[in-house]
Amino acid sequence: MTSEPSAPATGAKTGPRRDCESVSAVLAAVAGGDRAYGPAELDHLATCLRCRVEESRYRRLMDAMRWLRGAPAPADSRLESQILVHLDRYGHRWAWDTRPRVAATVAAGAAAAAGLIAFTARHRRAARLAS
Amino acid sequence: MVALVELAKSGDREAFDRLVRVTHSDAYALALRLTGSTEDARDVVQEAYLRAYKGVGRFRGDAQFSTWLYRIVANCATTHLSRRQRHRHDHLGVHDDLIDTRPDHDPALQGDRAELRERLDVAIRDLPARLRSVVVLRDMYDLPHEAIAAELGISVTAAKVRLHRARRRLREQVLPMPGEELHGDE
Repeated sequence: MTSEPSAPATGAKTGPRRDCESVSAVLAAVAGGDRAYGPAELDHLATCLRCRVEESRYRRLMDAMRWLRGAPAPADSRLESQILVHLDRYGHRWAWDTRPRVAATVAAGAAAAAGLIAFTARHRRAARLAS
Repeated sequence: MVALVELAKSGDREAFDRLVRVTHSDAYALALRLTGSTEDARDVVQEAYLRAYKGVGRFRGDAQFSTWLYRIVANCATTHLSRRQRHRHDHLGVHDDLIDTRPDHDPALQGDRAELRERLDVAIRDLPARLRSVVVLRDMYDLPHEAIAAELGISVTAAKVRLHRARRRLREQVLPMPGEELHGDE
């Protein structure tokens, strides 16, 4: 039944040793593939039953996490159609909303150009009359 | 998938709809993990696909489409949850009945994988959202720290700290060490 050794009695009475605490901080990171053990940590693990137990539990935790990733989500038969309807509604509205903005930009540009032409023509005419 | 993505990038709505059909189950599963609620997950997925639809033209293809979509889902979930300002999973008291440190009842010694996974599923749902997001994206969906930090709007260092706390809390809840008691370090 028992597949893992129990913690040493000293750990239960006085709490983890300082070395255990420092190693404990990296057990999860190693099990998660974020880093590897250094030599000092490996030395500690070679002699510390408690940390080896904790390490094995982190590994089991990560295995279970990966399994959960592959587990199917609860089926929601309406979701696909809801997404597509949402896209129809707001995807098109988004595209439609851009048209007035484009039209307004073009109109503003045309008005500015017309104003500039009119201003230039008036300025030339005034200069011609003055001469 | 690659061909569909290329067609979608060129504005082919039919192709995008087919991408939705192929990927929506995974996206929903991630949203469900991140939000812990079917209703919220549905909203998040709809918003995520809308953002993906608008932004697919900018998808560079240097990552898988699914990874790109996961990042959008994560971003939408963060926005959604912060907008709702829900903290319904933050009460440590509800975890008390999940912990039984008596050796005879230690789940680590029972060797029951199904039970372990079930307990883990519950423990993930009970994590505070800010811890749950990081651990789900990293340990279940293999997103790099940098991507997680970017989508959650936090620094890489903060993402790593949250990940460490989340893993530790999950381990303490699901596979407690003998004599170990739950403590709220978050």
